[in-house]
Parts: sequence; C-alpha cells; structure tokens
Amino acid sequence: MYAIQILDRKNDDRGLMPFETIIDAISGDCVAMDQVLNHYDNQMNYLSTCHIRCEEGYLIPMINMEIKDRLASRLIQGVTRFSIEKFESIQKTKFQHDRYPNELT
Amino acid sequence: MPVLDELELQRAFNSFCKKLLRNEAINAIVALQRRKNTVLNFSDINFDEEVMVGSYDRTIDPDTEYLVQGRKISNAQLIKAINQLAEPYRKVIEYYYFYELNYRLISIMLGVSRSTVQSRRSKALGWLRKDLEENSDVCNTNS
Repeated sequence: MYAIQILDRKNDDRGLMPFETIIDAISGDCVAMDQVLNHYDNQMNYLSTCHIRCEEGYLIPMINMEIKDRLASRLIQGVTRFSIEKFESIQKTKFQHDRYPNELT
Repeated sequence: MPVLDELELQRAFNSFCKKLLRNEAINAIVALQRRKNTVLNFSDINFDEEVMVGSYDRTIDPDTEYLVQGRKISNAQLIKAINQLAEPYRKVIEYYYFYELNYRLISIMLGVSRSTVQSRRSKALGWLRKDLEENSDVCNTNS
C-alpha cells in the first residue's frame, strides 16, 4: 500500500515570491529588487545557456553573460511597470500606506 | 494560509516575470545571430588583399556637367532647381536620392502615408524636369 499526498492546490504557494517583497519591489525598493533577481536567477541561467563544442567533440553548456545581463536589466525594467490595477481590493486595504503607519506619522 | 487575493497577485507576478524573461531571451538570441551574420571581426580581415576599411566624404563639385537627352546640366543648376521646390517635396527628394532611404522609412520620418511620399516624389520630379528644360542649354553632340 502506498500513500499519495493530496495537495491543496487552491492555497499552494510553493515557488512563489512572498507577497510583501513583491509590493516592495514594485514600489522601487532596492533590497526587494535584489531578492527578485535572486529568485529568478536559475531561470535566467537556464535561458542564457549556450552549448559550445570543445576539441574532443562533445558539447559543454556555458552561460552567456551578455544575454544574462540583458535579461536582468529587462526584468528590473518590467517589474517596475507591473500594474496592480486588477487587484483593487489589495490596493484599497494594503497598498495605500496602511502597512507602514509609523513612517507617515 | 495566504489570502486568495494575495495569492492571485503572487501567481500573476510569477507568470509575468517568466513570460517577460522568455520573450527577452528570444530577442537577445535573435539579435546575437543577426550580429554574427553581419559583423566581421577585425582580426579576420586579410590585409594582403586590397580591402577598403574606411570611407571618404564626397563633396559636390558645382562645375561638373552631365549630358542628359542632348542637354547640358551642371550640378549648380540642379541644386538651384531643387532649392526652388517647396519644403515637403524637397525633403522627399533629399531622403530618397541622397540618403537612399525607401518609401516606408521616409513616410515614418515625415509622418505621412507611403503613397503620399510616392506621389510627392513623382510630382517633384516632373517640376524639376520642366524647370531644367527651360533653363538648360541645348548641346549638339554631332558638331
């Protein structure tokens, strides 16, 4: 007999960025932006690999840093443009400086 | 447990970033390949043969003359005739013949449609022809 773990797919948040860092990154926080870049580092490595044939005849995977730099800069550019207009309920409750009441006073 | 709205945003952000990275990677690879096809390395050039590395600036000499359909036309006359055109027509002539752009690029630069550029060019050519026929001298090649 073997057991299968039943996952709650509706509330599964594995492999996703935490909510607060997303909001910080969109508003332009550099520490949160660094976390975003770290989170998508593997994805960028995967997309920027190219295979180079060596003298013995087999292929070696190498990371093309030119493509990777371009991807990172594009990611930073895109994250700041990410619009949260769809999620109106979040905007009303959380995004309008309710999360940092001490900074305003 | 995360609230559903927050989770929605997290998922949307994740898919947004992945899509963006994938599309940008395609752009980067296409740009690299295009550069590979067009750009020649400086170390690959063989200097034993005659290779033109640089270019030189050609200035227009006003005294040189051409024979066109039995008429003698100098560069100075041509410049004078082009300067008498109205500005939109002169620009089309400049871009098409001196910068060697195509209709589509000119239409983007001037902000008009492609067919307008085409008709302007043909009109301007007709005026230029009429102007030069009146002002140029007839040259007898037989004598």
